[in-house]
Order: sequence, then structure tokens, then C-alpha cells
Amino acid sequence: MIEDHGRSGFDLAGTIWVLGSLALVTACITVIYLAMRSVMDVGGFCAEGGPYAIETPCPKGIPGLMLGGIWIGIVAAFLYGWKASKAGAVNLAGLLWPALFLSLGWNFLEYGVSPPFGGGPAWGWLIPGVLFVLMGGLPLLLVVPALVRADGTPSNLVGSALKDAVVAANRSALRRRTAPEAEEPAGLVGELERLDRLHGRGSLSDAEYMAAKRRLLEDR
Amino acid sequence: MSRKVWLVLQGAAIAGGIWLGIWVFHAVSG
Repeated sequence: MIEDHGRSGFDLAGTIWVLGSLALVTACITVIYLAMRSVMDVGGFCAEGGPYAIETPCPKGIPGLMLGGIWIGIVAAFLYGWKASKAGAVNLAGLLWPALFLSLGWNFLEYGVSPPFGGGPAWGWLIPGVLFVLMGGLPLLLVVPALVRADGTPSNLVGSALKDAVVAANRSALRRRTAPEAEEPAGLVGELERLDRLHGRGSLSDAEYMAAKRRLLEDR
Repeated sequence: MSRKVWLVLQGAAIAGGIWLGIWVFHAVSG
């Protein structure tokens, strides 16, 4: 039996977890973005501590902000993905990767075109800039259509399509137990047509469609 | 909750997160 978390009734704790973890991961991406810019302002490299003479010390607090931003961000991102799917929220986890790489790619491109230390374009920054934009932009092209379509989200799109099919199959089984015999064929045909519609509009892949259809027929 | 309500709440959480990130950055490095 598939549970339908959070769609009936209001789950305050779950909502707070979803919103808090999303705010935290967004804050971490913002901190990483700003910390990266302040390192690029001093030339792109800096160091702190250790036994060697340091040519460019890091701006105040930057190593801690970078490390904290990355590690807290990773934990918060996983927490958000988990809590959002548990609470039945629109899951934006698929946007986090593009958000990180596009914002850092923007830094590389902006500083690459006009480096803070003057001179022409800095190819050492422009090239990673293009790579980062591709790494963030290409997944975004996949994620956005999935988000726009029905209630499909990047992480639960397949799950929600399968869930539709399983719910339909369960409903069909329930109807068989409760409805008169004469109504059975119409119910089955209805469910098959529903599966066909889901398949036709792309909510179900070929394999998912065949699996759901087989399950529906086997349940009879 | 409806999809629209979730989107509005999460949009607000993202805005709040950006504000928090800027605040933390300036508090630590400033």
C-alpha cells in the first residue's frame, strides 16, 4: 500500500523541516558564492596556516566559510530532498545542483572577462566558467520540464507515475471486491485506458507502462 | 497542502536563505 504523506492534514513539523533545510542549503550556496568571489578578488589563490611562507593570505574567515558552506550544504541538501518527498512537497532538490554550478560558473565568467588584477581575459577562469555553466545548465534543461509537468518533480517524477499506476491497480482490485460482476470489464477497461493516457502523455515510460499493465491484468 | 502553497512557501524559504547567507558571510568575514 502506498502512503500518501502530507496530502491530507497539515504536518507542521514536516513543513518546518522542509522550509528550514531549503533555507539552509540556499544560505550555504550563497556563502560559497560570496566566499569564492572574495578569493578571486585576491587573485584566485590564498592559503592559511601551515609551515610555509604564505604569499597571499586568505581574506578573514573565508576558509571556514568555504568548508562550512560545502559540508553543511551537502547535509542540508540531502535532508531537504528526504523531508520534501516525505512531506509530499514540490521537491526542488533537482534545482540545487544547477543553482550551485551556475552561480559559481557566473563568478568564473565574470572575473574571467574582467579580472580584478587588470589585463585581458583570464582564460584560466573562462574555461572553468564555461564548464561550470554546462555542468549546471544541461541538467537544468532536464529538471525544469519535469518540474513543470503535473506534480512531477526531478526526484519523484518516476515515483509519482508509478504511484498513479499502483493506485489505479489498487482501485481496480477494490472495485472487483465490491462491485457487481457485470461492472468488472468496464472497470478494467477504464484502468487500461487510464494507463494508456498516462503512457501517451509521457508520464509513464514504456517499461513502466508495460509493468503496470501486466500487474493490472495479473491482479484479475 | 497544494502545489501552489508549497511553491510560495519554498520561494520564501529560498529568499530567506539568500538573506541568511549574505548575513553570515558579512558577519564572519567583515
